[in-house]
Amino acid sequence: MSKGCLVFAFNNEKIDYIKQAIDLSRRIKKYLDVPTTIITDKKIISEDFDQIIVIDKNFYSSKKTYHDGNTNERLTFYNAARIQAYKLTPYEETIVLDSDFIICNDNLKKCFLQNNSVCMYDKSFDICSFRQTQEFTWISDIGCKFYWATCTYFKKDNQAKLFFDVINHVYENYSYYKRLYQINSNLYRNDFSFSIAAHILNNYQKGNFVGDMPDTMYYSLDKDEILSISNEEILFLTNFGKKNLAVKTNKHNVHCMNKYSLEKML
Amino acid sequence: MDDKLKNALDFANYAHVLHNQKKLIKQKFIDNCVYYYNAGKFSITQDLIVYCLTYKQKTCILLDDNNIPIQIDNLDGFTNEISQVYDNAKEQYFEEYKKLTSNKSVKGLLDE
Repeated sequence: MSKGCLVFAFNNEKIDYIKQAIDLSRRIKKYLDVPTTIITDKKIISEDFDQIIVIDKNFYSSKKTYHDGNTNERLTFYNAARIQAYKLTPYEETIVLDSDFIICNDNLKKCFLQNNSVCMYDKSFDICSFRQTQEFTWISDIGCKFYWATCTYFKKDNQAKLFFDVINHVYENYSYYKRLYQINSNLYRNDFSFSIAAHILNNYQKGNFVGDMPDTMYYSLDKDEILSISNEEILFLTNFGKKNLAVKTNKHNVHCMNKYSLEKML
Repeated sequence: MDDKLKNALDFANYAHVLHNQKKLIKQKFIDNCVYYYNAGKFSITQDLIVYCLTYKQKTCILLDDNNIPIQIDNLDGFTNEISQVYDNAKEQYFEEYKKLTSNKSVKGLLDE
């Protein structure tokens, strides 16, 4: 069975997602030893990718506030193409990754050793462990369990197809589902549509339609600064309340939400 | 600022960073103890190893992390494998913990 990773990368006015994707594909090669396909909106020449698939990004855009420490600005956010992952992947078994996910170990390889059609992270770990992170446990106060779309494993089978069909349905009727699940944000988020789809396919109950990922999802927020990145170590200056806390990760895979800071370090 | 207060605040900052780093390496240890066998996910614990060691048959059925029954065809081999994975994770955790607690400044904690 063919195995590989899929990365969506659409540059906006300021952020170079393709640059992030190139760094990620090198890490995927090094730690997971599988090929990477990039989905983007322009023809690029790079030997780092197994395949380059070009699609129209404008269909999937919204506006989002991007934070860089204490400053922020509103930029275009091309995130919803992820709902096409099942259709676009060239692999039988795929790990879809955000370009701002930094791989520092081979734990994700273990995804290929299990039988679930779809696996996602529900357990996550804030690298600054003193912060309250209720928003990554439930999608809203009365909503369902939160799953991270940041890193999703799926097989090319009927169950995964069903999952992505429901995600597409949620995307097309997002204003309805946003009200139903009482999501406050106006921004379309893949995390929410993936979580809602999992909830629906569990017959609106707790369930095991979506399997566990092999490890824990570590993340830093967009108000955290990245001070340095080496092969396996990342140094952060995290922010909580009015305080800062220095944090070093070593051989942890980390989802870095501060895109500006990440770009400076690559 | 009063020297005593400054020392106290410096120590508080150090303790804060140390506490956070300890949590990160502990979670990594837990992640490193995950083992897959026949598509079952097993979080290796001392209890699981002892259970396997004391089981008197050559094969057995174990419940994985999701309570799915998994056939273990070669229990000896399985026990050796999980013991090895657990030992490696434990050794790495021990070394990192030792390094961490031997540093007495924030800079030391982050430079180690």
